[in-house]
Parts: sequence; C-alpha cells; structure tokens
Amino acid sequence: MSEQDDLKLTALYQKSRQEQPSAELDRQIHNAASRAIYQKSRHWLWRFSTAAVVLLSFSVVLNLLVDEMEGPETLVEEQVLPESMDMAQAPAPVAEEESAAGAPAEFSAARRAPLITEAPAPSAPALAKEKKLSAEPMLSSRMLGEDSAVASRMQDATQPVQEIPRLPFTQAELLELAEDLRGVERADATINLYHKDKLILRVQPQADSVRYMAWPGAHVLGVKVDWFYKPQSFNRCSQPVPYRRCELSEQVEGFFEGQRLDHIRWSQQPGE
Amino acid sequence: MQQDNLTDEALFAAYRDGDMAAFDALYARYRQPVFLFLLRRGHIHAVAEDLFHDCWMRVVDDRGQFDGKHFRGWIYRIARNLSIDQIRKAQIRATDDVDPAEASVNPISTQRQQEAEDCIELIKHSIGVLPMEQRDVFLLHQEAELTLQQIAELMAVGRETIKSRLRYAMQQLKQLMADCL
Repeated sequence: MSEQDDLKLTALYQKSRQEQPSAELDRQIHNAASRAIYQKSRHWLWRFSTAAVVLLSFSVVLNLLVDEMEGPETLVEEQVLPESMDMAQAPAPVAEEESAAGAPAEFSAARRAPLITEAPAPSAPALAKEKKLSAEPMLSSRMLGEDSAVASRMQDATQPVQEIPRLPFTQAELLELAEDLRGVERADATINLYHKDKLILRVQPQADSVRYMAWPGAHVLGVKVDWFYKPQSFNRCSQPVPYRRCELSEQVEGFFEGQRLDHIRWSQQPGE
Repeated sequence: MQQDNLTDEALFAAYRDGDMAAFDALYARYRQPVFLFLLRRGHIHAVAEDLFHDCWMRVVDDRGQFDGKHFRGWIYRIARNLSIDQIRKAQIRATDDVDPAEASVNPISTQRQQEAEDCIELIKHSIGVLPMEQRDVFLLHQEAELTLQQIAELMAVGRETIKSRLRYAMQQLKQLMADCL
C-alpha cells in the first residue's frame, strides 16, 4: 500500500473520467438559467409597478376620505352686485326668498324683492374641483401641524373681523356717517351707499331684520375688515357659486371671489 | 478569458447580477465533475443526467440563498442530497451496509473484475463496490477536490472520520485494482 500505488490509483481514476452530460442537457440548463435571470428582472419591474399602483390607489382613497369627512355645504349663494356696477346697471330681482308680509312697517310701503336667489347646481367637474379646494384647510391643519401662517389665520377665524358697529338703516341717517357719501334707494327698498362713487354698503330690509353688505371702503363707516382674507383661512365655506361663502364669525359672512374677499354680510335687528 | 481568473463565488455573484457569461464559465468548470460525481455514486447514465439537471436548477432557483462563501461545497452538497433522495425514492439497495472486508471478496466484484476489459473499466466498477460513505469521501476528494475538512463539513462528521473512511476506500480500491497497479 505504498504512496506510489495511491498516485497510480489516482491517475487511473483520472483516465476513467470520460463521461459527460449531453449537449442537449447543456442547452436546457443554459436556457433555464438565462430565463431565471430574465424573470428576475421582470419580477423587479412587476414589483415596482405594483408598488406604484398601490401607492396611487392609497392616495386616491385617502383624498376621497378626507373630502368625505369635510362634507360640502349647501350650494346656495346670494346674487350680489359687483362694486363697480352702478345702480342703473343693477339686475332686476329674480326670485323672492321670503314673503314681504312680515316686513317691518318702515319698509312695508315699498315693494320688497330681496336679491336672494338659489344658484344653479354646479356641474360635476366643478363640484369635484371645489370639493378639493374646500378640503385644503383641513389638510393644512392636520398634515402641516398648524404651524404655518394658515394656522394663525385659523385661529383668527374665531374673531376674523372687528366688531361690526351698529349702523342705521335709513338713507338719511346713513349719509350722516361720513362725507362724500351718496345714497340710492331702489324700488325694492334696498339702499346702496356710495363713497366717492364707489359702492361701499348695501342695506336690504328683510322680514324681521335688516341685512347689510359691505365692500372695501366701508371703513369710512367704521366697518373694518381684513380684505386680504382668503377662503383657506376658514373652516366653514360653501361652494363658490359664484362666490365662496365663509363664516368669518358667528354674525359675519365673507364672500370670496377666487382668493379675494369681495364683500361681507351681516344682519341686524331693527330694534337693536 | 478574463472570467477564467475569477473565483467561483465571483462568477456566481456576477450571474446573480444578470451576467449569463459568468454562468457559462461556472457551468464549464463544474459540468463534468458534478456529472461524474453523480454517475460514480451509482446512478445509471439517464438518472445521473436527471439529477445533474435538477442540481443546476436548484443552483439557479436557490441563487439568492447562497451565502457567497464556498460555491464548490455548496453545489456538491446539493448534488449529494439529490442523489440520496433519488436512491431513497427508487429504493436502490445501497452498498453502505456491506462490510469493507467482505466487499473485497465480493463474488460479484470479483466477477466484474474478471469481466473488465481494462483497468479503466475496472476502477469504475470498483468504486461502485465501495460502501456509500467511503464512496462519497473518495469521490468528494478525487472528483470534487475538496479537502478533508470541507468533506467533513459537507457530510457533517468529524475530520478524522473522513480521513479514516478515505483510507479504507483507498485500501479497498488497491486490493480490487491490484492487477492494474
């Protein structure tokens, strides 16, 4: 059992190494290995695509849920006159909101027709767009942690305007409040008050109250409003048809045209 | 070729990254040794080819599980396990229960020895006569070129046991091959 025999045995074994797998088997294994790598790359692509679809779906569902929680408000808006529109151009009232039977005595002589109308329902795309817009404040407060300027606006929204002074509801008394005022009383008892030919106040008699609408420039009457408010600063806003109405305070509503506060509105009891 | 200088592990890593040329180089290195290991372990040619195919498919499918340390030991472990499973399934009567001392005087092996056309055929038959444990050690040492320590790890036994089995295998083969040595 010498070492030389070991070497001879090993040499014999090496000579016996003749058999090989068939070429067909080689080809099959090569193809399978190649296919596995190709599937790996496709598998990666498939995973990426799936992840993208899932992420997108999640975003859409989340957006819908937030919109649903926000909830749209009633789509009723008031038709108002733009500040630049002169009385002569004012449109005729289109619908009565309430009966004139209960009007205060001082307004009963005139035929009353408040300029309140129900705006037509917006189209579906417009609704979807505005739903998204109305959800923005909620998203800001929840997702941005209320650490931005929006948050301070939200805080201000509890007292967005200084206290509105009690205003008279007769044209004569209104004209005494400031200089350069001009009043126009319409047939429906609505009084438009102009300052330097610019509409700053409208007084509309209601059944049991008087409604005031004020535009920028009403500060001469003591009505001071931050006219740079934006609808995103307030939680409760309606759809913009045509104006977006937001609650600036418990008594005062603001009407935004786009991002700009166009005018405010509040009511006052005649006897107050 | 540049790939000839790369280690098995580097080639396999390149294949996992999508380099089929690396796989071909690796396959060329192990094509015949793994096939012969299966064949000499006692399978007929057709079964050895099936097992060889399955072995490479396992390498491809389990490429993510390879720890990157020792490809040679890994592929022979796969081949051996497949062979063991095949033997169990086919209920092939293994010869590992044959006493080495008896094996040297096994009338069948003696008959084969007489019928062997030459020493090349004789050594093929002689390896088949070895007990399975010794056969494994001999083949892993000669064909797979694994060290005793690597064989011990692959077969999960001690290094001295492997050394002893290899010594017995060589002794028996020398007895069977006496006329050729």
